Amino acid sequence: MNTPEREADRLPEQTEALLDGWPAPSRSALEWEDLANATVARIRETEVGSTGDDLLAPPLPKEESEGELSSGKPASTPEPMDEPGLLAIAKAAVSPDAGEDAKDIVRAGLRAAEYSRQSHPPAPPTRAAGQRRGTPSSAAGLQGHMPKSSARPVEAVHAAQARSELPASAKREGDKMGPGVIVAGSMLALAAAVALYVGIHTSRGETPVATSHESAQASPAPVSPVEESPLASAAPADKPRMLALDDLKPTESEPAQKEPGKVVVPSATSPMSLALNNQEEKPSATSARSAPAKKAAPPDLGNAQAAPAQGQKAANGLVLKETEEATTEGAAEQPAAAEKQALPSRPSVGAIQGAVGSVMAGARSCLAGQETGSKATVTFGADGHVKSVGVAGPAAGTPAESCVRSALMGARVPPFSEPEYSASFTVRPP
Amino acid sequence: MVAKETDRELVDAARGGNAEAFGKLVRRHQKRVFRLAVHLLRNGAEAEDVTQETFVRAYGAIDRFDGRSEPFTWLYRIAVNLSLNAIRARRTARNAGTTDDPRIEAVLVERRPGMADPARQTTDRELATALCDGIDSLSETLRTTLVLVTIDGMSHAEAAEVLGCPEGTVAWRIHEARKKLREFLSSRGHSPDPDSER
Repeated sequence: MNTPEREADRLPEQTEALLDGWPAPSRSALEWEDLANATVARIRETEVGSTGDDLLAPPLPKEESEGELSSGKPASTPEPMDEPGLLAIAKAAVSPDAGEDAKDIVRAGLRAAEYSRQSHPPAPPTRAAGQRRGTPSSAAGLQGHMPKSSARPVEAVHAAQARSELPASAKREGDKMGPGVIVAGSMLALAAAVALYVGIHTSRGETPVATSHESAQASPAPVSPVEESPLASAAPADKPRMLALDDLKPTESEPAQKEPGKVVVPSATSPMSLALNNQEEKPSATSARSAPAKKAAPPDLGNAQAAPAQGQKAANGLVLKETEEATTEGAAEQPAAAEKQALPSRPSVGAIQGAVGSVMAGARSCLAGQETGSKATVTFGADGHVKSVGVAGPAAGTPAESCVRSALMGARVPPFSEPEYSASFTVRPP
Repeated sequence: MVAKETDRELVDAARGGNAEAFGKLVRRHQKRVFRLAVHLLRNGAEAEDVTQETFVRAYGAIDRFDGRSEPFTWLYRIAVNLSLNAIRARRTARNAGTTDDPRIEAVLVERRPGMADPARQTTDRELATALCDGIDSLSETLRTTLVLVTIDGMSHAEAAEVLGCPEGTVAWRIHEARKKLREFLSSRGHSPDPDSER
């Protein structure tokens, strides 16, 4: 959250007031009526269907550098994972840097992957909604939990190697084996190759800790620059941890609307959210944020590899288990003080505008029939709720005043540290 | 008391051939559309033309209004497109910031009754001029987004609907526009003083 930067963007008070209440050029009621009549007269001569589509299209080009910082698609759309990630990983494992044993084992996976791609070009996935897409995520789930001994991965991959022959034999035997078996076999080989690659790196002393935060950074088109939240950065850096979904969710102290500088919020169907979506009960919404998660015991990876159809589920299960532990432990170590310190001194301009903007339509409708707008001063309490609303101008002292007041009372901003904060707005008639 | 028809009801009636229903929509939204056009075009006469054209073109496309968005955001999108077309069609750039600028005139006209102090009027004019210059120095994209959200008071969701982009993009543009505006105003000697807001 970049509240300090937002504070710095604040314009001079008079400027803010001018921007907020910039009046429309003055016209008399008669002039407006004339304009409306002239328009309606033209409308009567207009045929429905005479307008081209160009005027209905989104009007503006992207701002320079907007592509880097802001997704071109709605943030709720899950970002597609990079499909050839496994192939790239396998190729990297075969590079001269890798050991000879690793090369032999991974080559099998690579052959299978290439065969699979040649004979079965990428087809639209047939996953159910919400199902984790692409193996990189599941590989990431496995990454942090590989046993350091290379014995088991080697055994597992030998089994996978045998299965990796499936595509070749299938080719020889023509149509005896269905394409489903071939794909399943090659996927198994790929999974084994990736697991081995990860295992090798683990035995080299690297710490392959996969966090959802990293996944977010690897996302091809983030909505805005990813910043580590103050609470997350408060966690000890020397202990690897598994971030939970809540690391990426806006907290209650953040406005519901997306703002620049916010971390990417994955949708309910995105791969990152799957772990917590599988949970029936979430122990604490914020508990996993700051507490370092305990490293889980290595899971039975062999089983995951031996049961290819369940490999993905097993990987998901790892994440789920880890997340549950993290959230339970984190609840006990919630650093309330740190959270309080992280509060901005006052709500940002964007937050206020967003909050008031969301209820402004209701306030405006209270002034239906009035010619000019009225000034409303909204005072927010430290908890983000509206404490009071003052109305000045033509609406003051009329039934519209209480209508405007009750409409604006619905505004909410994120909590802040100062006791209260006031902002003035012009409520114009609809 | 007879309940006022919603915009959607009026659009539905107009789609059925009721031009009067569309006339109600015109009377309801023409001021806002006009103000938007003034801020984008910086010219009152052109803004009037665009306002009228917006409703005429909207009526011409009413068969394609699918009802997924609010009618006024649909009108706004047409108004923004027409305004941008008008700007691009101009051969010569207008010099914003003169006393002819309808935006500045609007500010001075509204504040005149309570402003007996000529010094204050001068300050207001200077500030409005600097602000208009700053807004005009922004790119089309940032300026339009800023006008929709900050001056017109649209929510990010509504502006996103008009501009056909995600809310996050709107938020980023507003952030960028404010940052640039602040730098511009600082260069003109209008320094921010956040504490004075309290």
